[in-house]
Amino acid sequence: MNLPIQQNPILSFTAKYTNRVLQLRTGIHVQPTFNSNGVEAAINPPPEIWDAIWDTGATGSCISQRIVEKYKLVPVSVSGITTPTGSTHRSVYVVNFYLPNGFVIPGVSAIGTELTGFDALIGMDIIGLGDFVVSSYEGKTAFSFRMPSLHCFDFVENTYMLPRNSQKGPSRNAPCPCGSGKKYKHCHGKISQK
Amino acid sequence: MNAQQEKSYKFFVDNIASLYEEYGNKFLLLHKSAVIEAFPSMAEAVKSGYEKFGPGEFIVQQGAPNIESNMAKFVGLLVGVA
Repeated sequence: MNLPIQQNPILSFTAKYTNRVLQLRTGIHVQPTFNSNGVEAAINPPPEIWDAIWDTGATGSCISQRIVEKYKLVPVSVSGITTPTGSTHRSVYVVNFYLPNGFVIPGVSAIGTELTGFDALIGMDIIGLGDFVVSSYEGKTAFSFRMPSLHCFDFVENTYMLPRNSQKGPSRNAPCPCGSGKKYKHCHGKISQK
Repeated sequence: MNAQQEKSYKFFVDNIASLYEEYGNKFLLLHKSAVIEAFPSMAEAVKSGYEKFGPGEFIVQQGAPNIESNMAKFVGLLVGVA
């Protein structure tokens, strides 16, 4: 299966839902980083799509035992885990995560554990590598993620992000408040007009 | 995890404080209950483990002052312990 793989050094995707959702879920592909001979596998996602939940309350990422068994993954490490129901330790596997829009994260250390109703949990070890924004505009949840981080999203400081009818933004020829050095009309002024 | 990996993990847990003193936060490649080499990243350590020993013949653990400090934490009930 040949999925388009992002070559751009800035990787990004946006997930849009038709209503307000209480869990952020996306489909992902998972591939062992190393093949059965221990050789680094070429970037080529398997056809299976697994349901993944994005969880800012998790310090690490997990994969289900179904994924471990499907790809006959071999553990490379052990991680202690602490959950509301207790502590234990689990095997860790090295996998490539294929996020939507051809966004690949190679060499993820994923904890293999029991997951019910989904097969992967994407934690702060990945979310914390980039910019992660959730919105519920007009009652429809959307979230966007990119790596590496390029901007601090501060909705208090960065009032230029507000819609034009809610505040007067900088003048078109003024420097953009984001600090890019560009004129507002060529930077976020241009974005907000789209 | 096979028996040999379990033994290497036990060695790591039993000696975590002294290994941290010697290697700090580096990623330790362990084989047959011994530290083979310390690496600056997980990826480099795993790659070396595959090259030197093959799948299932090693583990990589990051140095830490105690076992609690490198535990993964899950505040929700999405991940549980049976």
